[in-house]
Amino acid sequence: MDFSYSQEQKEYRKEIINFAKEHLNDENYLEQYDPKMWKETADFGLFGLTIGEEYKGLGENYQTAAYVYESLGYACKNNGFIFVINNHVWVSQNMIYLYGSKELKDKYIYNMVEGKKIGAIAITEANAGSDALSMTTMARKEGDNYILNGSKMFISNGPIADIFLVFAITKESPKKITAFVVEKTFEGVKTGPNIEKMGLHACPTSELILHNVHVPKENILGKVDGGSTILMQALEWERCYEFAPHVGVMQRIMEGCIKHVKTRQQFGKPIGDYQAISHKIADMKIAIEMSKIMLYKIAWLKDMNKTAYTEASIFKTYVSEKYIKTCQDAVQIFGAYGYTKEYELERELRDALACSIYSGTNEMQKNTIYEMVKMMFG
Amino acid sequence: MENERKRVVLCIKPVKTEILFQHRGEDGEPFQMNPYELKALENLVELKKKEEENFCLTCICMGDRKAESILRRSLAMGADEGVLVSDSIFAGSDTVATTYILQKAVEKLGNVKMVVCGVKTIDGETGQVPLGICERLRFPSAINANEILKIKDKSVIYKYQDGKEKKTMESKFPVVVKYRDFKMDLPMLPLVAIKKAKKKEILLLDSKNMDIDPKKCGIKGSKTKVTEIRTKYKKKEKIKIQGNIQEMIGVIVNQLSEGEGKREESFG
Amino acid sequence: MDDCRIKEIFVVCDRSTEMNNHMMEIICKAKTIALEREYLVSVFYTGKISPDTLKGFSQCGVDILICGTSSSYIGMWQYSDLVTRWIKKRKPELVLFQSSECGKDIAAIISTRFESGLTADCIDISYEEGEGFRFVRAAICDSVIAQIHGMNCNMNIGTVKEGVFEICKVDRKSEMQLITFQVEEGSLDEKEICLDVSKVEQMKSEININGYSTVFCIGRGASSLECVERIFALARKYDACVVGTRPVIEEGILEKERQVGQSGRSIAPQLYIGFGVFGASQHVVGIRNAKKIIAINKDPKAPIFDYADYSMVADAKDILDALL
Repeated sequence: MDFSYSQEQKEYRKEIINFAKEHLNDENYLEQYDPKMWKETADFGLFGLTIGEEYKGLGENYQTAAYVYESLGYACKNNGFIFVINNHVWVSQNMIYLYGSKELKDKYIYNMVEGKKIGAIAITEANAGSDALSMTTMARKEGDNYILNGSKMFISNGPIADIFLVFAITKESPKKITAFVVEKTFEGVKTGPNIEKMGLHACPTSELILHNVHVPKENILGKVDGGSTILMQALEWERCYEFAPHVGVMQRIMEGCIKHVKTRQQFGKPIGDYQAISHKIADMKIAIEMSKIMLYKIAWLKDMNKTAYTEASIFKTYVSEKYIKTCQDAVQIFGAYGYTKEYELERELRDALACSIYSGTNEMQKNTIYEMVKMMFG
Repeated sequence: MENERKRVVLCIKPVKTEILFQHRGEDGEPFQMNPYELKALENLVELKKKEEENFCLTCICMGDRKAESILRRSLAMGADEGVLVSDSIFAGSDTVATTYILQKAVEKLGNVKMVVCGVKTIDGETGQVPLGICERLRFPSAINANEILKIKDKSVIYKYQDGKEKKTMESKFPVVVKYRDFKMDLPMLPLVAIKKAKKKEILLLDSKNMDIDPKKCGIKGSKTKVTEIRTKYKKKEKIKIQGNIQEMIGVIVNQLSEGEGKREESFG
Repeated sequence: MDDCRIKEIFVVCDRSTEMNNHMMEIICKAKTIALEREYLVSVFYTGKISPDTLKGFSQCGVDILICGTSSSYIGMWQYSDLVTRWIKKRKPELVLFQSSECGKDIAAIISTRFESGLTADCIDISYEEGEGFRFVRAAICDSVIAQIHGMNCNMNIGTVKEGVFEICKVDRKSEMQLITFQVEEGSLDEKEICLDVSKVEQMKSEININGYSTVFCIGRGASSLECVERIFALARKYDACVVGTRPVIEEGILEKERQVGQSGRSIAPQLYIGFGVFGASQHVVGIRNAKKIIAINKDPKAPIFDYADYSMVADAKDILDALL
């Protein structure tokens, strides 16, 4: 078991850190989507990291991708923009790349790798969150097309996306769903106004409304009625790579706290000398190291072409809890300054609070984990 | 090593990152390209892309192994060859020794029609190397260029601007070019280019594979040595003026009044 | 090497250039060293000769004046061959050139040809017993002073910065020796041809930005027409000079001569006030020697605040409104 990083991986880390610090930390766009930043990231070539060279990607493996995304979180302060990237790459572009037919890939992958088309995934509905299968968006077969009707809610990248991976019901009993690749330009596709959120403002979010949208059968991802498999895969990727950057963010926040507690003095001593403070930082370090081990295990399983569904749930739950706690502790360590906008920790906390909700709530994760262990050891 | 096309050699001086960008360099690269050579490299790479300008662009860097990252970047930007001139006996070379070593490197490469150097480096700023190389290589001319426009079969067309005139000139090969324009911002390199550049080999030239006299290199071959460096500027007090505009202008007017009537001739 | 020979300092004037202050400054400095060490000062000159020229050189204390007369402008390679020939004849201890572009180029060629140490842009030269010649120069855009010693060679070379040394008359003990020679016609082999020339806009006025003790700098954050007008008005009121950062010059708001930074000039005023200046490294290197720096910028994270004595996070426009 080799826990070291290769020379090439270390070089990727250097490049992504330099790129992020130089191009992705523009103060004016920390809470606003910037299409220029998108283009620069596309030109940099990040999107095609794990896409094969035949589609102009870099052909790297998932462990390298994990290191790159962890480093991205470390260097890029714009959590919202990272969220935009992840929604485009892992649950949209890569899904088409891994599970789509050659025709589908040829049609969409080049443009997505070059950032010319932005992707999104549409599962959740107003009344179907944790209970995703209670969705009401329907897809009715008509000749060579499927007619989609319904609306999706809280779609990250909604307002800016060109390509949506939409899940709709194709069979009533037993209930079966199918995954469709829907273009924004198809007739009947509309997005609602931007939804104002607590954080992650650089990621525009909206409803997706589908009114008699004709989708050719070639745009089905995977099999008809086989959408659950695609859905589970998407969630597995999301739970790993949406949360890989958070590990890097925790590292960055911890470093900021250490600098502060060495210089801030109260009662004649640096506050880092007080265990109430230093223990919080120790907790951050513990969380970072434990998260990393799980992250690379999942990436390794994916490189071995194995499933990592439970591991991803465990990782997601653990990281989200620790990430939120790290942000809260950071605000506390900085005291009143932590509560101000200038120190940016309140933004980190607002951005962090979403992660116990998206990719499936932590409560649902624990259900999943319990079901799995019950099956294995029951 | 290619031997067919004519070679255009760009001599890149590595400069410590903290001199160029005081705010970076924490986990970044320890060395950067001298800004004059960076601009020259961009210029030459553009030329290669534009028409089928048929020349081999070779970047030479003289320095320790850490400077290799500079050559990797130049390959990623579009150079054809990267050459690292490095040996422990080269350390401590002044411009006399440096031009000797570079001469040997250029001769080793062969088929070199044009040698491009930044007109000066941002740290040493002596500007002595280009003409020193010209003298060593016995090239008949050294030109000043703000921009290189075209590389022809036997000559180069370039733009030169001094204070009063903009000239378009043509100069026959072989020639040394003193490149006068510079660029401070680092270009963003796409990952694909960086990956391709990694696959290319960087040629190492040292005292063993160059026909070189060790007595003329490094400290032994140098004719000057720096015995002391003193920073000139005073440490800044860094007083933050908080508060409203009135308080701020109070400080400004105060400082302005103190300075009134004091006109001083100062050089530098 | 003849030990009984009197040692010499050889001053080389720019080719085909009429006598000017820079040459005199270098000669006077050479004379100062020469008087201490009992050296001779010889001067190599290829400009116009007149009775006034000869008088000027004589008053500076030149011992030997070598004049090359030529009917045409002397090319660089021909000149370096001439200088080489005369250096071989005179065998000087120290050769000094002007720090003009022409002087530096020739100096670099001579340094390489003779494999002698060359120090560029000297602001001081002295001789230390047992240690030899000591040269002082500035580097890294004027932010450091370096001391350089010659070693491993019999001849040292320096290019001397303009405006550093004083011109002073010297009492002569003996007459100046004059050697004249005719410079051969240069070969007509044109290696460089000019394809096209266009005139660059001339400067509107001679702006000596180094002559002011107070300097106002316009940065991007104060580049609106209103701000620029107000800064000029303020400058008139306080007898300050207005300069700008590279982006401001590139936008055409100020003339190129007012650019301060790596590619422009460096300044050392008593007081520098930056209005909306961000503080990019390439600008900051040009102002590090200012005695006091006041920085005004809206962005609290602007790097200029790391180099300022007084930091003010404010909109330059508000400050200017209140000041006038």
